[in-house]
Amino acid sequence: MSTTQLADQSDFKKLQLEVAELIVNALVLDDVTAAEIDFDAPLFGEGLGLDSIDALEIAFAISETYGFKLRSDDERNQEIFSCVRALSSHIAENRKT
Amino acid sequence: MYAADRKLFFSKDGVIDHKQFVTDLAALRAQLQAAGSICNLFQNRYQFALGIVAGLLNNQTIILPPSLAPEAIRSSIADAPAPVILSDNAEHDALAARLSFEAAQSEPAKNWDYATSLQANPTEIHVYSSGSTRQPKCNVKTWKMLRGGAAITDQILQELEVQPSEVGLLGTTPHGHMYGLEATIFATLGFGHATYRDTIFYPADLEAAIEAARACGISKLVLITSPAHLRFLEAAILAAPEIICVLSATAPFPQALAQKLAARDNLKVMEIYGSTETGSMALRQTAFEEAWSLSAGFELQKTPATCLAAAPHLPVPIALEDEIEQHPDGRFTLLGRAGDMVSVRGKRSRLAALNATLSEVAEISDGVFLHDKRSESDALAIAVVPLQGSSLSETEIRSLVRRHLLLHLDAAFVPKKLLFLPEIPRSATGKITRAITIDLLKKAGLHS
Repeated sequence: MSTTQLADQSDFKKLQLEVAELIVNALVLDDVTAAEIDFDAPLFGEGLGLDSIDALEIAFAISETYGFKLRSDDERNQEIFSCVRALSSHIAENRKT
Repeated sequence: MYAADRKLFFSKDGVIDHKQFVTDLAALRAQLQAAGSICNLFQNRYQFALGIVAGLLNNQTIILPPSLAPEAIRSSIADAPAPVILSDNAEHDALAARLSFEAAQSEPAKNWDYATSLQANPTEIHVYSSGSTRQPKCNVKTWKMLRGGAAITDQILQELEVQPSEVGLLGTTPHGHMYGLEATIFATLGFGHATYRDTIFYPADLEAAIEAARACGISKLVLITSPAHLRFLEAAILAAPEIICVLSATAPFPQALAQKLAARDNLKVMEIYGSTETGSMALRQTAFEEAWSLSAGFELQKTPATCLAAAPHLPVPIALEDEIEQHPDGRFTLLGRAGDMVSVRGKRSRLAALNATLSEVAEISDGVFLHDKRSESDALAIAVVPLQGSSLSETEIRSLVRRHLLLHLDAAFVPKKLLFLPEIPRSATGKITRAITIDLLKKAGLHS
């Protein structure tokens, strides 16, 4: 594994923690910390058990922090919101800030 | 009936006019011939509206499940004869026979005037609301009842004094639930107002919808929404002069937000009062008034215990879930929710139903929903007592409780705060006093 790949990996880990923190703060989840969130666990339904308004809340926080907007007609939405890891990859690809 | 070129639906793919609608309708009716009943899960409002009219004309009961959770769909069709699910989602194949949408061959349609014949059609449309037990309550509707509820939307549009061809409805609320069903689908089917096909959820969706409307020659837009969505859409609405009216369901709608929106030039801001049982029944301009005016035809009948709402399109008078004060001029003020009704983000449930669901969780010996009524959205938390000798950690119990509640309740009623207690301080009659509830909510950080 090259040094760049290693750096990328640690950057992505950092981003995932940052996204978990954004979720905890946006939704005021005080019985779970960012570090406790399983990056591969589903955000909706089981797992964190979020609802659709929570999705709006997260989308709002994402647009404020990373400078891009989510849209319903994106066919990958279900996948994007599936877990912290997927959401973080989407942010890494689309972030403007 | 509407002219052949009357715009009924629009999207980035263009306009669906009345002619296209009746053509696709004939095709869908034929495809559904063998169905005994129809579970309509189409997410696209055009396809969904076709499913409604096709089912009614074919005399097939239409079922609109309380949510898209597989468990909710399964139980709502459990007693339905030969159900066919209308859905583009292949995951629904596991639940019943499924039909996805296909564009029709353009054969000339014969039945143009479905609306007149449907006015007396008794075919049932099942719409769900939360009941007093764990099971959602099935409310039986007909075309006449839902069209009657949509009359309020039509009335507001008439008062805007715009040409039908230049105005469109945009919906952010789910069309399988009462408010979105009446204010978008039935405003189109029953009154010919054009509705945007897709769902508006994120602010960027609103921008896309406005662009699509413009391309379809629709320059004036009415947003059918709810306070929970408005919080996020506010900035986009203020920046879009095309939106000339905001029609919000009550949750209630915070007056400060209503005033902020109403301060924009040429923006009318209305709030609609109603329930799944009554349909839309009253309206107010929240920015300027507190009292509600009844929709045409509605009448309130006060009884010692409750207040009944009656209307020509409702088969029987319906008891309201709110306590109200009537004024001599016919208007009324809402005093508060009756009984143990919980309201979170505009969704309602009886507290008893929530507690009944919680009591089924294994691994806890006692549990209770802690509830405090708030004007916009209630505070809700859970206190549980783990089963003595349970080998599970608090994290495991928390996830067990969540998983069970999410299976049976709308996620809005699944609190994010969960307290662990050695015992729940119940009174001799098993009740939890108000003081104790407040004390526990303080512990959960939900009460100052």
